[in-house]
Amino acid sequence: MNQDSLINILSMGDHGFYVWLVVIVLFTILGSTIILLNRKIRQAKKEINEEG
Amino acid sequence: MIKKFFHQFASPKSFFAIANKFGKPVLVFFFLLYFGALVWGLFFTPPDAVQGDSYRIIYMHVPASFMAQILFVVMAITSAVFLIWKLKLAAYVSKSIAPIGAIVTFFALFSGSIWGIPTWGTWWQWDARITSTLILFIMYLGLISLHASFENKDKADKFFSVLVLIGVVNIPVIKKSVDWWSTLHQSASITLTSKPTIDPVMLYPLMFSIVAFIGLIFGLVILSSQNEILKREKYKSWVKNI
Repeated sequence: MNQDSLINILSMGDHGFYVWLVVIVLFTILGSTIILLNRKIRQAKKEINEEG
Repeated sequence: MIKKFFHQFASPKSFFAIANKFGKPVLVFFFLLYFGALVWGLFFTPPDAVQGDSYRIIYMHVPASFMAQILFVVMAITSAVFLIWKLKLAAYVSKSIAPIGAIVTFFALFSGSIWGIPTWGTWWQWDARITSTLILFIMYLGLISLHASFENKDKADKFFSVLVLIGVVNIPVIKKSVDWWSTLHQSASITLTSKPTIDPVMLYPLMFSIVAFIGLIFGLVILSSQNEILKREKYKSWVKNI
């Protein structure tokens, strides 16, 4: 696979912008939800340990 | 006997122990699986004859739209279990699903709007499918606000569960909206009763992405439920030993 065909695949033609925008938003939402939930669980465990 | 079984094996303590052990591995596994499905759909399938490359949004929009509805149905089932058998864990899970459902529904609406720009020439249309999905999103937000507004969380659980059972009537409306009304949104390409109208080259990664996304979102629900259990049971003796 040469560089041009790789760029063609990644750019996804005229509508690549829309597809990439949706990909970025999806992974931002998923990533931040996972990080936030993990942080909340860690914090709750910490508070319980401190109170206990 | 059913009641005894539920109370023994579906206690917050038992659920938390299982979720603590398997929750994160499940989440990581399905995250990687979904990532693989997305790579397959985005880079290893041909462009659509009519829509070109914009159709690739299907690998994100369809799993999200499907899960937005499934999560509400699961929430209705757990709410019914809570109201019938007074099972606390069911109320906790129900409450935990609401924010995840809101996020998934928001993404379904967002991805659909973006897909609409190159395909329909508009990002929004007040058609039956889109409007009923917007109502679903508002219902998720309403349920979250309702639960947060109560000081007494036992009372909140009861009102929340009743409202979920009323709101679930919107799900068949969303599902059938494209058949009952004339809509800009296309009718379903995959149904249980007929052959898919989508080419297998595109269908297989789509099915794969739907299955992986279901697992991924249920992984998030498990994580969210763990958080809810810790919040609600923090004064119980078993929580001190985790």
